[in-house]
Amino acid sequence: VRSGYVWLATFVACPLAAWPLLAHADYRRFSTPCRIGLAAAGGGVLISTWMTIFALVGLAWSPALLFAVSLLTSFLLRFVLRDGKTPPGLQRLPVAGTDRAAMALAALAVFASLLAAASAASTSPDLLIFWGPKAQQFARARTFDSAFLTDPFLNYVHPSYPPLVTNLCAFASMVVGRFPWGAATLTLPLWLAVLAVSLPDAFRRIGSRGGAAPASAFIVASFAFLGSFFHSAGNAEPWIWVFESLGMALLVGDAGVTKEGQLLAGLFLAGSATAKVEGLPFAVAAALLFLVVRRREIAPRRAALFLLLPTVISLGAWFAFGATRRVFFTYEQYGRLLEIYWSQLAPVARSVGKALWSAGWTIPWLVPLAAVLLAPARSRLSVIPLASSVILAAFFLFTYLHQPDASFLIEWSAGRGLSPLVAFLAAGAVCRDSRATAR
Amino acid sequence: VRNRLRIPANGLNSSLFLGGAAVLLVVSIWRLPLFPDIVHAPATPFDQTDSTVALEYRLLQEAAALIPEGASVSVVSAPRDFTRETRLHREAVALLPGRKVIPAAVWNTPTYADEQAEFLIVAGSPHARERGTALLDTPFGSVWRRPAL
Repeated sequence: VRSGYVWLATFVACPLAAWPLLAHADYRRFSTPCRIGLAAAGGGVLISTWMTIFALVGLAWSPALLFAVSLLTSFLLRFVLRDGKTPPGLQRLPVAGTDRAAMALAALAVFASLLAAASAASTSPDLLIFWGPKAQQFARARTFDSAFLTDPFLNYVHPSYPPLVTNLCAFASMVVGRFPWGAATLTLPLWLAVLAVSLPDAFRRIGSRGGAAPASAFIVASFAFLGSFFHSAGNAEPWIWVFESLGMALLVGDAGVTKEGQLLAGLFLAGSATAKVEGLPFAVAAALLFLVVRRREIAPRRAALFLLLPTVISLGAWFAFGATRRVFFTYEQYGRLLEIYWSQLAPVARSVGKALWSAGWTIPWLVPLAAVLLAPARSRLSVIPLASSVILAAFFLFTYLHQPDASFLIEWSAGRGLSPLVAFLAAGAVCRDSRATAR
Repeated sequence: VRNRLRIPANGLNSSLFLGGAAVLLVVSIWRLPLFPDIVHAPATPFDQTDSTVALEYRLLQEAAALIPEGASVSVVSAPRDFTRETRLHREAVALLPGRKVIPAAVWNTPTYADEQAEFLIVAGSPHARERGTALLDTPFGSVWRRPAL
């Protein structure tokens, strides 16, 4: 049990690794709890990326060395930013009256998620079949174990699946000397807590006076519910929720037009792309939508570089590893690209609807959608999260239509795969809300 | 109307979000296990989600204490069920790190390779067939050291 606590405590390396960057004056627009949450997500991406690069060049993983190079990278990234003088307009925003109720709801949701995970009520077999064995084996091998990934009897572990979650779990496992299965399930409440402390302030920077904290509380409560309902404890969903929600908040917020905002958003897009397969289409779509929608406010080439380079490096290193070791060259595919079963469109739509309805009568998706539709003003910025939602949904639809019968796959994955839409729709509503309050 | 009722411009969104969060929180709490199951630490991470996997997890965890690193091991079910044996192989890979786990079945098809393993784990009630020296015998399975060939 003690090693489980130590394993969880090891994740403090994530915020520590990125703190030199987040301590920069340019990030002082965010509150301290928010910056800690942002640092946790950013540090996770830095450590994971270095683990992938180490594996690619044949260096054995050492937690101390990985932490040191991540810390150094974070420090060096400060030089990309301004000279450290606080620029004008960085004052923190006041907390609105409804925020206390919202914060209490978010805290209770995280606590409920903790109780569910700790009492083994949120665990999926995926932890035992997929995430856990890979993280455990990589920790034992202190690198990506090519023999493990190419064993024909073990191809159910999806050898090409992006590595961030297994990397960071392996990082903690190397520290304690084993993979603690029970503690792994507590990553669900852990990352929800990160979201609960960082998202309200990130949303406030979109410009909403009173809607930021309630929208954040709703997202946290939705993810707490969905994480338990879809048995996501120990899986990758909590990680991608953090990267995608915070990344989206940065892209539509006032920090999005600055170097520091784009740098951090780029790290979070890389986190999404290396946490789950569907994180890549999200990262590309969100970055491109940002470059188009905010083109008049930004330096497009610099923004494109900041937003996409971290994904190119982290995912590029993973595919370079796969190719050089002849483990994989692309992601595994569900059928041929253009072999689409259009006749399955209606059954797929029905099955997806059924999967979403089963999860709290679709409340997690319907509430933010209603908030978008009922918002008193339109907002150009809301195009980024709303179009990202459509693109992610289209990606899943496209995937499901490659199966002659996708009903089992949809039942298993649709709710979890479409869960980030909750945050995107809420971000769209906050954008519209901020436009209304600015009038 | 908005001004007369003193509803802030963003009042609708805030109420929607707070109301939705409250409903989902209530549903989350309602879905929690009974209080005794919350205050007592679970035996396995699957106690509340999959009782079959939970039993297999306990068997494999107990087997891990008896089977040395580097040894070969296979897991079969009693009675034989190749779908279950496929799953048992995957669970054994997870819970018996450092051992050579030989699959008795993959993708629901028998491999007949389990005979080569030094140790055999039998998930299910004891089987009449002689399997070597019994190292562990529980209601949910047993562990055997096979005689050297």
